[in-house]
Amino acid sequence: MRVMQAVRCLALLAFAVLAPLAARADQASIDAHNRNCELAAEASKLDRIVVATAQSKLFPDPKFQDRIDYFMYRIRPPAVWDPANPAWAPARTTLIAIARPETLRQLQDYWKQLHPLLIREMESSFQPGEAVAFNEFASSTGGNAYFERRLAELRAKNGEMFYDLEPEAAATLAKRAQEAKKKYDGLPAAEKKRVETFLAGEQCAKCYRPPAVAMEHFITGQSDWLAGVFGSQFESTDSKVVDAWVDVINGKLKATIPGDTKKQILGVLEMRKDSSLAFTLKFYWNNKADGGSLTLQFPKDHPSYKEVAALAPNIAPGARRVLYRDENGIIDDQP
Amino acid sequence: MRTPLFIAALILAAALPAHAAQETGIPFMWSDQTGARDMPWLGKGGRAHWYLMDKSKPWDFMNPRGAEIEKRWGSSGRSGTSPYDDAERAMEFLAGLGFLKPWPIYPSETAEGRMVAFPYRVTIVAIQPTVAIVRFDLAGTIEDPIPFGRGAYPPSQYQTYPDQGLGWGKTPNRIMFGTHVVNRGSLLWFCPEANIGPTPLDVSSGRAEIALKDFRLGVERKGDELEVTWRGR
Repeated sequence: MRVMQAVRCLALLAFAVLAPLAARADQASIDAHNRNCELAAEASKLDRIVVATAQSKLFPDPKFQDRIDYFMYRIRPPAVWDPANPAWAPARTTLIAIARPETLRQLQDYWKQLHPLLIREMESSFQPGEAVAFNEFASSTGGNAYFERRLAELRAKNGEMFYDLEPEAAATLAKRAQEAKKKYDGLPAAEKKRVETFLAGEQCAKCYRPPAVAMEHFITGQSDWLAGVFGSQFESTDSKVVDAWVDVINGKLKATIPGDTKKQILGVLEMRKDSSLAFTLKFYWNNKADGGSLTLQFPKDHPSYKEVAALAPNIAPGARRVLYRDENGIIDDQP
Repeated sequence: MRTPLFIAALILAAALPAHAAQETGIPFMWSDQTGARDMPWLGKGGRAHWYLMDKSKPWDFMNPRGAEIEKRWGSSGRSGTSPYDDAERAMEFLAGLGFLKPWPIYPSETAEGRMVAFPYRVTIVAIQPTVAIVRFDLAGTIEDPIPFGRGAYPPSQYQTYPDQGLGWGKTPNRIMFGTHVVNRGSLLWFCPEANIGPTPLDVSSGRAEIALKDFRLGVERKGDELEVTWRGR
């Protein structure tokens, strides 16, 4: 009995001594992994590559285009203009140009959180072996030149884009891309070979996946997520800032965009070739200001035909008039 | 003797804060809350009144919807009917006749179903039986934005218009009630109880009449609005 008690005491003692040592050893390996990830991020500029990739996904995304259109309909409602209006495209270009500085400011603000967040994401996305191999590659001359070229070419392709971390003129970006390409092309053959081998998915002994696969997986996942964040940030732009954009566009393009009104814009009344009337209204649906439209038909024998036609005096077949309502409920075709 | 009084006082104390936040109603008693509302005529003559009863139970004090207020209109709370039920019945009557059918439907779903882009404003001008005037208004197809909501009502209701409507989920705007109607757009009238569907109401001469079995309603132009008056047989 006493022997058993002694064995138990010894076991407890051994656990008490060894457990902190084991924990310390484990913490040391976590710290080493985190340090590897940090060094790899520094050397590869992976965080900036994620931002640039996210930027490149913004404009091709139809949802982001809808967000820009949402602000376009803040300038004038869907009833009076849409992409078919000749003033739409120049106004949209102006809107994108004047909205860009706000997106840069939003990213500058967000970067303080985003940068450590991306590093943390790297720590959890890369296996320790993958991080070591990735860091080795990124710190090499070839790896360094490869990432420099990749980032510079991405940024040059994006041009003067929304959510730019280090905004530069398109010409400067193009020049940097050329320089980075030149530097990469001038690499010694051994370094070029190193890059090619890495990108081809060279496996390493302690890696779960080829480090290049882990890297691309990380860039794709993070840039998809970040593009979504940029979209939400853009959509939530302060209304006072948006009002200022609208004022600028009203001032710059007053002569070309449809006139402003204090009345409620109801919709468009059209007289068709057979003299029947069609009243079309647009409504907000699926997060779009022009998400849907409904058309009310008034054939010539409709009991309300005459009073609908009277809302747009002298309307002729083929003509379209916007209908407005004032605060006393009077409807006419005058803005 | 003291104990029941104490319990009653406790119940009253619990019920009072519940209704204080919304329209005031007396617990379990009908109270006339007509105020400045322009109420519709009663078929038997006289104006309807707006009644409320606070039906909140003491244990409803945690109810996130607030007090449970029942609303009725009529000559008394007890004999009155629910204004919302009456409005719904009237509109369902119109729908049953196919009057809403020609108009396009919004894709969004409300509790009552899909909303119709209905180019009319409906005003209940009498109850028991329900008589409503339907006024053509293209703006009725769109939910009234707040700055333009007033314009759908007659000028005499500009101050009270938020209290002159009854929500119905199948049209973008509320069903109105009262004895005044905006003098714009062609008019129709109908009476579900008498099974009279939309009938033209010509006020081009400045006046018109709605004739029912037991009473008549005169419609007379007064400035920018039409006034409805009750006339016996």
